[in-house]
Amino acid sequence: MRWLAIWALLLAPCGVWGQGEGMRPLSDEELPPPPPPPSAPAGVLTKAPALLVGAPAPYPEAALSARVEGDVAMVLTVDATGAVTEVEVTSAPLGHGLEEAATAAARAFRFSPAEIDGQPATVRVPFTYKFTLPPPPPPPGRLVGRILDRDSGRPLQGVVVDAGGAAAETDDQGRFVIEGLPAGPVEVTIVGPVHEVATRQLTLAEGADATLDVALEPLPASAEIVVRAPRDKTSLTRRTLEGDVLRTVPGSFGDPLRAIQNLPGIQRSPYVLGVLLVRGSSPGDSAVFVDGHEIPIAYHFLGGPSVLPPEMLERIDFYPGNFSARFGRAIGGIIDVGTRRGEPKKWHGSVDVDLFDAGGYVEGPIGDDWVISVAARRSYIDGVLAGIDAVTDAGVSSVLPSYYDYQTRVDHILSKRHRLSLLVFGSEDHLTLLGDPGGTGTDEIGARIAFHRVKLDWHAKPSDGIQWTMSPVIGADFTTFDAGETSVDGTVIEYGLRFDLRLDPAKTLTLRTGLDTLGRAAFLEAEVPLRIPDYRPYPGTNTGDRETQPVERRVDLISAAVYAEAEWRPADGPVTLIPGARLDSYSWFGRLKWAADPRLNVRYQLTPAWVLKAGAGLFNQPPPEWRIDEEFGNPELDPEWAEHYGAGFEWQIDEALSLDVEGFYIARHDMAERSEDVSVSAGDGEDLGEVEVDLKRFENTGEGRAYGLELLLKHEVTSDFYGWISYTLSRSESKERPEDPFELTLFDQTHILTAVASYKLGSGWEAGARFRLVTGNPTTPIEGATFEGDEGDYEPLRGEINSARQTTFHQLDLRIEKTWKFTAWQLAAYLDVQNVYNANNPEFTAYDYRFREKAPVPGIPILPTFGAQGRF
Amino acid sequence: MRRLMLACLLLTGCFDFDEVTEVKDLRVLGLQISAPEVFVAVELNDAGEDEDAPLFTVTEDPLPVDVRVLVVDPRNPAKELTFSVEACLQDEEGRCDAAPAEQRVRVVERGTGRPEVLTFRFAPTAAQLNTWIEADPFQGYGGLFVMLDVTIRDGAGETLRANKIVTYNVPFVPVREGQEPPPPKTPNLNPVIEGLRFDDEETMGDGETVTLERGREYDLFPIFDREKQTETYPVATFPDESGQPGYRVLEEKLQFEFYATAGSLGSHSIETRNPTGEVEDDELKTSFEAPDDVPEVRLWVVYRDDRGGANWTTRVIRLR
Repeated sequence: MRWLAIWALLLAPCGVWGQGEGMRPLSDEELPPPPPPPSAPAGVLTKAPALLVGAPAPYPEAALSARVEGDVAMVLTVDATGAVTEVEVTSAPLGHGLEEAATAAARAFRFSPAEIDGQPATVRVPFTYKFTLPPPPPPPGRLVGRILDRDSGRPLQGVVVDAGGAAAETDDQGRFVIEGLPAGPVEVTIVGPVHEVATRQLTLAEGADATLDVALEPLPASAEIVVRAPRDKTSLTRRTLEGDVLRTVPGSFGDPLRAIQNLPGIQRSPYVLGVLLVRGSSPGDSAVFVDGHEIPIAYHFLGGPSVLPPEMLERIDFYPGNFSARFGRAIGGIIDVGTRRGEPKKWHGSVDVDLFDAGGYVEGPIGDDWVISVAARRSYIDGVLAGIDAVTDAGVSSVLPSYYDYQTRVDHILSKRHRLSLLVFGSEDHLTLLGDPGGTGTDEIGARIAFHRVKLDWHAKPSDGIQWTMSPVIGADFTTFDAGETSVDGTVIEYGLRFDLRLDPAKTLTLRTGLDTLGRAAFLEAEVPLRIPDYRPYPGTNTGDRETQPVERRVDLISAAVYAEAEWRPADGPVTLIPGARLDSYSWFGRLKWAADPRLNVRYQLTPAWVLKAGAGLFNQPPPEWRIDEEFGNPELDPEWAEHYGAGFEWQIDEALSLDVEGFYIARHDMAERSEDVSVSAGDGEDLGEVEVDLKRFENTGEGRAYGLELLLKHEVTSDFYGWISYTLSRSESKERPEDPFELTLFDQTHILTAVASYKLGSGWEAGARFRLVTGNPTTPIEGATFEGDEGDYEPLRGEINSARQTTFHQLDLRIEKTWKFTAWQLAAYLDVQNVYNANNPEFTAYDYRFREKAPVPGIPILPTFGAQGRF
Repeated sequence: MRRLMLACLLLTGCFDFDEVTEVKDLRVLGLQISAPEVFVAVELNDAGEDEDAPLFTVTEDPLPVDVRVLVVDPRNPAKELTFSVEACLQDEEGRCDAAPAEQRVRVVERGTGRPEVLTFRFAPTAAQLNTWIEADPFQGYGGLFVMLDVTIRDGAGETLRANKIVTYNVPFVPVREGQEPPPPKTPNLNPVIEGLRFDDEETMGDGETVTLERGREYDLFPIFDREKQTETYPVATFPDESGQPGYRVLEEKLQFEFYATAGSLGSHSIETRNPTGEVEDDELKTSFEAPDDVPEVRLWVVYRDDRGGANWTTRVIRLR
């Protein structure tokens, strides 16, 4: 509590005021004007005493308590040296120690000596101390409320409610009271023993009660306490889904990474591609990280589910741009997936079954300080399709996709301040086409993509305000393709180490710095007819129809980066500055490349409910591996890079409803594009033995830009409802060479509107819906065709690149789920229906052999999917 | 279900488009140059004297070539056609429209003819070839590929476009140190097949009439001398790691494309070699299912080597 003892010197009879704070010498400016002529012995006062050192009189506690104020009038005797030798109280007594306080303070005064007839002399000076009560401090606020179980509605006892460090437990009626809370914004965390942790942002008014009623989501039977990792606040915009939302968004088949595609900033991907398209960037420009390490694929083949099950995930954060300096090697957006620690007290598990795959999950303690979580999933759609003649016209008798993924996480608490976490995970996809695909005489075409990772995290908090994480990772990616005598085997061995140090030297300052290294050794072994010719083929020569030839290539790419970042709130004020920088180095084929990325994000807490934000920064990534290969690419390529600019605001409309609006501009530079630059020159001889040919297969000539506006109106999960409306207005353009005009990118979508809502109907029923309305993807119109006499087929005459569009995409998805709870376990069954009204959403356009007839390739038709999950 | 749709999508097997093998209206089925590759006399330039000089300069006008265009229209074989032809450097879009004016040559302003074959002559000068050499990114190294862009119109307002490349080349290839002397380099010739075989019935003459049973499916084989018709040829290679250009010897493959006015053809295209290797003679076939609703079918087989040579043969199939 802060109050000022305001004291005044009233030099009667002229009523001159003096005022000061604390016990300190007064400066010239603070000195009171010269006092009026004091009463003095006989003679002429030739110099009045001036106050040199004043002192406030401490307000006596007794007077404060009694709320007594008033004036204490005194006459001070000031001797020839300026010291106060006597104090006489002349006013009526106020009591409560006020006279004593005034007297004691006055005795400490120091004056310049008064002079009478030019000689220092003792004089008497009237003084009045004015004791004014400080304004009463604002009464503290109270937070009261009730915590209920979301499913049953029963009050929850023993739930801890923490409001900015002040905490209380709920009683048997689920009620709690936290008193003494200052006015202003406060984050309230509600932690129950068997419920999801909930957080709420509140703004408390002075002296008023705030009410917070929360219905906590019961934990799946598989978890008791979820330990939330510290959330990243260093990026300009973070969009998050967590908890049940991860698996209950309609149309996402319970898949968490699909659910996040409903947020602004992510473009709609055609259903068969399953790629991540962020703010107009290419799929390869964005990255998915699992606990800080990038994974090569996020989804299984052909629009399958993501490679991580929801049970393993604690959260998914999506950063559409201007992300933290801790993340690198991507110029698009970032999805950061956090895995969760298993249940430390008892065993839980679940089993999922749907039309496409089945999976299981189990977690529990394996000792005092050890916890393990294990999950696995396998598809069986290949078995269902094995006997179906799928596309006989195209020579395919069966399409057999299959996939599996697995995850194991082991956590060990080394000590109070150190803990280890080991994560082993991977995924494998196969696709087999049986018959004679493409009429090549091949009985089977097979493709496989797989990755495996082993990652160790060592978290340490050696002292308060210091914590670090060291995280080595090793893994391998495999890509194979087999068609008759043709085979391609690609293997990437990946190894890396991250070290992240976090310092909290002050309440208003957080520093992070770290090292981010990654090595990738990419091997290609192939028997392919598609050789890169070392000659200029005749027109009509298909270099791919030669006999298969062995190809062996290796590309080593080593990347090391250091980064530093601060989160600083100067003077504990409303502005938060997040400056950061990242220095990346890349090494390939003996070349060393550098890229320095400064970044700055600023947040301004305009009011407790409003935040303004802006950011700018540079981002870089290495070119795709095979584009830097000495034989197939160009090792002289430089890293690709991008500028990100964003600005917007966040408005916490009420406890549950928030609005996030951001405008952005992204410029991409030095994109590696296929080169047309061929240089042939004669040598110094007189025959072709001296010819010089310079083929640059790729060069950093590409440019891109994207700009737009994103809006997210979100209703947080409450007792029975969650939902959001996201809207993106954007334009994305690119060009391959500087002299080219900008053209729309393949997935430019001007308007993307998504509305998601889910409501708990009671008795274990939950129903949800998702509606999407998206501008059709650009297409290049075909205005005719030319018969090519050397090929025997037709070359289309293309109009302006991407100057037309597919029709607008619109789709409604519904999901209904019913949960039955038993003593030791629960069962949930759901029906997820995609494209309920069977909209015909063309994804592509197919043409006949001479490009005269065309037909839309429809998107996914109405597709009901049934699934069930049992949890114990 | 999603996977089934994907298969349709990837393989475009789910659309009710016309079959490429079925000839119903005005179409170009093939183009042939009398000499698909023309050797030219050149003078090699020395970069020491002029570093901007092209690799070589053509010193004499090349021999003219005659061009045949196989144009068919079962609806009206007697209709009158007009055509025009331009020449330019090989273009990705297969048209001369975007070529700079100095690189576009009007070969035929307005020709006339009727299905089944249109003909014209192409006789560029040495100066024009040198203009194209200068504009060619490879400066003619490995061959100068000149495209003939043919526009065909019928009286009903229908327009077809087709193109064909004429290759102008030097009669030698560079030899890298340590390489054996290359085989003789000769201009490419158009391939020639001897006949066709429906199951066991051979038909050897172009335009010959064959009688087949209605509704029956036949194996259809080309008859040709594989060794003679799949020539080997040397090509100039780019400089290797030592910086020296050299040569590589390649072997042609033949590709056969089948067209008919009715009935059903199995594979539209077959090749003597595919990515899995050589295709044996007894596997080099397509199938023809004779229709049962028409008395007669016209069949064309257009075949090409893979360096510009082309030819075709036709049969009249009577159905019994």
